[in-house]
Amino acid sequence: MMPRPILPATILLSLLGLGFTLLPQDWSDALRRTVLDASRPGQRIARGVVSRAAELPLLSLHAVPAANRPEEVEVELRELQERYRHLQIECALVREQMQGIAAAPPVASRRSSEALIVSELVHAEILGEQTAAQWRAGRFLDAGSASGLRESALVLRDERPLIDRGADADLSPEQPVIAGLCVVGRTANVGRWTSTLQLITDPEYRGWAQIVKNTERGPVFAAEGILAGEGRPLCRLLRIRATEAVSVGDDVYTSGREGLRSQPMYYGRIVRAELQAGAAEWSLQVEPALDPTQLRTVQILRLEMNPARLSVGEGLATDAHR
Amino acid sequence: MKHLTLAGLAYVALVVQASVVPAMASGALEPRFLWLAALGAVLLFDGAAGLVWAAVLGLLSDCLCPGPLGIDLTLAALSAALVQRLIPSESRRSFVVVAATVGVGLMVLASGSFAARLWLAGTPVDPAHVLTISFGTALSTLACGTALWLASRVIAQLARELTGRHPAAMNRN
Repeated sequence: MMPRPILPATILLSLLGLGFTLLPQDWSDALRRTVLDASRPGQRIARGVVSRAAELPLLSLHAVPAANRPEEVEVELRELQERYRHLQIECALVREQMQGIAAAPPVASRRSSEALIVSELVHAEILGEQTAAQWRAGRFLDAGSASGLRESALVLRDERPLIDRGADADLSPEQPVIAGLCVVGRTANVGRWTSTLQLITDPEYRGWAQIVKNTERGPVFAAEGILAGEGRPLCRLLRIRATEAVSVGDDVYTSGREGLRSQPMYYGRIVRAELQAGAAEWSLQVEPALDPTQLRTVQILRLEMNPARLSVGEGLATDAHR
Repeated sequence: MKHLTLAGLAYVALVVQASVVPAMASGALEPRFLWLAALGAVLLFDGAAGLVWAAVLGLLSDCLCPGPLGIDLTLAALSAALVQRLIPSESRRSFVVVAATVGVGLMVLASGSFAARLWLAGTPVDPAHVLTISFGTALSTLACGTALWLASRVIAQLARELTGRHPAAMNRN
C-alpha cells in the first residue's frame, strides 16, 4: 500500500510551528490561559480522585498536594499583569506631565486680607492618662455640680484622648487638630474646658486626602481620596482608582476639599500599595506621621471670619445708613 | 470513533500533565503524557491525520512548558512524518516496533525540545546534559506508558471475562 503523501502536511505544520514561535507574548499567554482553563474541570476531578485514593487504607499513597504548576502560572500571570498596569500608569503620568499639568505644590498659605475665612491656631495640651482619668472622675472640680461647674457629660464619657481646651477657647466639634504641619485628628466632643480628640487612626475618622508623588521635577499632586482610620496603627486611603499612579513611599496630604489652610497638612506615607487583579481601586495603607502616644501639645485649627473683611462690611453698612 | 477516543485521551493526558505530574515528580524526569499521546496518534492514524494529531498534542505540550510556543508542535509533526515515512503501517502492530518507535520518538522529542528551549533562552546547550535529561524523561515516560498499557490490557481482559460470564449464566438458568 502506497503511503499517503505527507510532505505538504509536514511542511505546513512545520511552518505553523515556526509561526507559533514568533507569536507575540500576549497571544501566547492568552493561548496558554485558554488551554489551562479548559483543563481545569478535569484537574478538579483528578485532584478529587487522587485525594480520595490517598485516603484508602490499602494504598500507601500520601495525599497528593494541589498541583503547583497551573497556580504558579496564574501567580506569574497576575504579577505580569500588575507590572503591565504599573508601566501603563507610569506612562500616563509622564504623558500628563508633558502636557504641562501643574508640578509645584501650593506655596505658603494665603495671608491676604482679602480671604473671607482665616485660620487661627489654638494651642492645647493633651492630658496624660492619669490626669484625664482624674478629670473624668471630677476630682479637679472640687466645687462639684452644686456650683454649676460641670464638664460636658459627652466629654466625660468619651474614652478618647483629652485636650485642655474646650468651649472656653471657642472650640467646636470637627475642628482639625494638628501638630506642626502634621494632622493629628479632629476635635470630637467639646466640653466647657476640655475636648476629646478623634485621632486619624480612629475607626470613625474620615478626611479628604491627596497623594503627593516626589518626582525629579519636584512634588507632584496626584490622586485624591479619603483617609480612613481603622482603629489600628495604620490608616487606609480609599477611593484611589486603579488607573492612578501610586507607589509605596508616596506622601499623603490633606486635600483642598478639607477647607483647611492653603498649605496642605501632612497625614503620612503610603507603606503598602496593592492592586488586586480586576480591582477598581487600590488597597493602600498609610503610616501616620505622628505617634499619638508621643504627643504632648497640639494645635487646633480654628476657622473664623477675617476681621479685616468684617470691618469693611461694617463700614459699608454705616455708609448705607447715611 | 477513533478520533473521539483520541480526543478524550488527549484531554486526560493534558489534565494529568498539568496537575498530577507536577505534584508527583519535578524537574526533568517528569513523564510526558502528551508526547506519549502524540506518538500513539502517529501509530494509530495514517497520513495527514496522524501528523495533525501529533501537532495538536505537541502544541498542548508547548502550552505547559516555559518559552515560546511551537517547539513541541514542530518536533511532533516532524517525528510523526519520520515514523510514517520509515515504518509501514503493517509493522506498527508489532509490540517491539511500537516500543522501539515510542522510545526513540520520546528521545527525539525530549532532546529537541530541551535543546531548543535552552537555545532560545540564550542558555548554552550542553549536549551531554541534554541527552542525560532526555534519556531520563524518555525512560520515565516509557515506564508510565508501559504501566498504562498493561493496566489497559488487564482491564480489557477483565471486561471480556465479565462479558463472557453473563451469557453463560443466562444459559444455565
